Amino acid sequence: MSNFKKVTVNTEPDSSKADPVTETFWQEISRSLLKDKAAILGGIVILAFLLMAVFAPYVAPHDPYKVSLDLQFTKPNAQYPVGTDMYGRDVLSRIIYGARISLLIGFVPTIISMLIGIILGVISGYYGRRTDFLIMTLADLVLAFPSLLLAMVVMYTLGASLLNIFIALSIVGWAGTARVVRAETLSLKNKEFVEAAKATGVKDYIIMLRHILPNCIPQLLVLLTLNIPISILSEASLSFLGVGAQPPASSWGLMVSNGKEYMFNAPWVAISPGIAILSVVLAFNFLGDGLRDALDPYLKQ
Amino acid sequence: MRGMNCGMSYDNILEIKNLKTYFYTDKGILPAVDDVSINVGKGKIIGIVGESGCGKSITSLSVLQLISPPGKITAGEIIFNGKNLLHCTPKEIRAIRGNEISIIFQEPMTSLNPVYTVGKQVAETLLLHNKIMSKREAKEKVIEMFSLVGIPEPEKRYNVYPHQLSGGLRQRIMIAMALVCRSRLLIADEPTTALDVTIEAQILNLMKSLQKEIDTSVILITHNLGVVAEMCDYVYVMYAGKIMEQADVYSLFDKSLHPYTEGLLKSIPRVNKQETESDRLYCINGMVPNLLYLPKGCRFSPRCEYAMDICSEQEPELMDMGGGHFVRCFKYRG
Amino acid sequence: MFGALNIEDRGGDDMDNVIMKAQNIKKYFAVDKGMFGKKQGIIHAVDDISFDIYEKETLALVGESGCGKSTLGRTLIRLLEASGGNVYFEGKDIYTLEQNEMRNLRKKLQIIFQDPYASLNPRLKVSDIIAEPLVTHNTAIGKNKEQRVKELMELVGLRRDYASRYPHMFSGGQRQRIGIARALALNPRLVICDEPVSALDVSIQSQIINLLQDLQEQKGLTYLFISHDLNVVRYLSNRICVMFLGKMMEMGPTAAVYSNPLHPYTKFLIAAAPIPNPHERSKQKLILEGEIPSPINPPPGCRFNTRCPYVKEVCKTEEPEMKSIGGRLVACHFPGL
Repeated sequence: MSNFKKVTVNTEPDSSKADPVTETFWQEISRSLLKDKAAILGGIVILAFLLMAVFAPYVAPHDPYKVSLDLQFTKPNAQYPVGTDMYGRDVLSRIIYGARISLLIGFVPTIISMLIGIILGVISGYYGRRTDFLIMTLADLVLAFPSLLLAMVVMYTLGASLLNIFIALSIVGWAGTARVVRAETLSLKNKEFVEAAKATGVKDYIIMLRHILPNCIPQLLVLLTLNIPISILSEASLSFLGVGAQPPASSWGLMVSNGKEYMFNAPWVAISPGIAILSVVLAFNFLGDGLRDALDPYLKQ
Repeated sequence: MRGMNCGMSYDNILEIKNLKTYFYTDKGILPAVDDVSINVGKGKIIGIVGESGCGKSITSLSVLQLISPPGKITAGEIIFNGKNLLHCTPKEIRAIRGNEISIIFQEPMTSLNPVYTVGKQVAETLLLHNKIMSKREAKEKVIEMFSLVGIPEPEKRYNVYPHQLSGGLRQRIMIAMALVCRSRLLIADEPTTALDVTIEAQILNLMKSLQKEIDTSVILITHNLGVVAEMCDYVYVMYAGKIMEQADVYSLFDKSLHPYTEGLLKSIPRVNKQETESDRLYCINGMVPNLLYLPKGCRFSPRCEYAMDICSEQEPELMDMGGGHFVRCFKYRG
Repeated sequence: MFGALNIEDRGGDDMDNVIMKAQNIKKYFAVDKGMFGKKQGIIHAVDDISFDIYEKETLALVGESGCGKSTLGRTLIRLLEASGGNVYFEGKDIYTLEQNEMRNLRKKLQIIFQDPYASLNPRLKVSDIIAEPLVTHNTAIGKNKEQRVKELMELVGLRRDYASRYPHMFSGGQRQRIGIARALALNPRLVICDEPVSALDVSIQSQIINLLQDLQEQKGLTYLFISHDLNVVRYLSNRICVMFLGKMMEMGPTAAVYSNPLHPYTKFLIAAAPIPNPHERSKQKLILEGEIPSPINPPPGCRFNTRCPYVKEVCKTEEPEMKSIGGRLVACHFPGL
């Protein structure tokens, strides 16, 4: 049907070997990440804690809620590898069950706050002018408050419960993401492929979903790995201050808070949940660093 | 025989012999510059022409040892004024850079520090290599140089910042900086590619007149054959890290031998085309190869319309065709 | 002697149909400081430009940085909203159309971009990129869509089995082909080509130039070809419009303008392009001195007066009107000097 002179198709080089040029984005990232030993270690630790949290009933040696006053402050031994606390409860089992709460608090508010931040950030960056001004002023206000203080205010107002912790951390956390997404949007919206979409007649919200947001993924991945540990630490701080998770729920922060009085006679009660927090936060940081190195060319765009 | 001189009887200021600069990446080894030999005669303008990925820029960076890992100069000699630059200490090389050998790049905005005035930057170069000169003397010399390169109101422009100048003026500043120490050799890497065409004409004109006046030798790197024809005395054509043809400029354009050179010349649209020529441009089939997956034999063979069996089996050597004209192609086997 | 101005010179048979009429197009940008800052100045990017585009021709917009050619190209298809003027296409003033009507019209007005590395979304597969226009306008779905995408890829010289690859797996020239396939997906009538070969290697430029010519012939396309490369423009265009600092300096059939430029700027522009023939170098070259002025607060009188070697008093005070000389348009007080 086409009777015009066909333009010669490009001659392909000999591709008998696997050509790395055919790697997709995710393949390339995985390959880079797998070279980073610290990142792999971080990943394994996170996975271990996740599995531990999910399979807690099968992994925990004892019932975390079982009170045995005659077993108070047992030193770490074969039966109670990390000893017992002030109520004779097995600290290890409490840490294992506590992972559920702490990790949940790591993930859920982070994801919610990032979603809020993404939506507000992209709208702010895309439409600019007054919309941008309003949203960014709001973000500045949120960022100006010490986040922990803001979270505490929310907790006092709403009352201490797990759901309220989620709300508090989400309200506090969206502004950073919004700023990052807005910055990416500003630089992306003038790129020619976005102009091309406009010239095709693609609607604004589709441009944002299909063209702008997917190109923010590198930044968002890095933010995710940074925000999760921040959430975990925030919850630990809130619990430490008494406005976080409430008993009988055993978040790690609460365990540290309750155990601080006994630091001299039974240090393991406070220190071991502290080590758990440390491990998870460090693991996310290593993973985040590895991700940032792997994503470097994309972040520099 | 691999005679490497330009076929004319003058001395050379720079001789690059069998240079190899390879990049050791985690995806494999990239032979960016693969056994390249270039001679720069005193007071001559030598052109290195080629498309992206051919290695022309890397060659010039190698001369000044500006190659950073994963790149590495793995073989060859670079003889400047009788000394092998590759055996010089870092201190010796620093004394040569900006002083005896200068380089100007495509984007003057990124070569100039935005927080210092242009005058100060050029003066700094002068003072670095002339420790006994006073600052006042340096400033005078700089203003003199500005005037020489055609910068209007040079005393005023001394105190101006790079972003306050247009692209053309910035490039003149770069040329001033390069020549203020009266360099013996100037390497110009795509100096006019980022400039508008009327400004390009000015800068090329300036380079020609300055070169005569200061008697600097020039290595001019470009992908633009028009610039080569305007400016150069002798030309090297590079492709995928190797020199494919080299000749004095008239021979190269009148009697190009290598199919790649021929193809390039036929495929450029020209301003003063004759009405009788057909309206369709000649195309070189295919694309520049990925340096990680070079074809067996001649690197150009997959795209060559004269390719023979031997071309995909062996790599041809550079052959002397007489009159300083060398070509790397089996078409001219004895 | 002015060049021959017959219809044959302009190429094509339907040359008398005006496909687009641009009248007094203006586009100004304010340079200001933030929300509450005062305006620092106004960039007169496009300042009162009028011309007609004929069906199936290639009209070239030529000029250097700051002349406004890219801005003009974008305002013609409302990728940027103009500050003034009208653009008539298919009998309607497209500046007055509603969002939805304009969206519908975009099927017929397309654009190809300069930078092959920025004009494709790196996160989308090639098939999705090319299919986007089809999906947006519901022109083809499912198997039909796939079929159409493969047809388009073949049309521009890309292998069909590359449809599921991502842009970074292609070379610059191939990416431009993808951009062209996308632009042609809905069978447009007019395509704005914004420096489509400037960012490509020399040996690839000719491939793409030939492709554009072939496609024009086959699909009956009209091109507005924006470029700063006079050699390419000479090859591709029927008529040429030379711009400087937002204003039109000269316009006419390409052959005539090249052989006998009437405006001093055109003369210098053509003379400036380095000629790939060393024998021509001994000829005295016309060099245009001076810097390209800033489009912020342009000079009074003729915009070109600060650089023009033939400048007279009147040039500094009065803006020249567009004169019609032998079927060509020139904006100069002393054309043909």
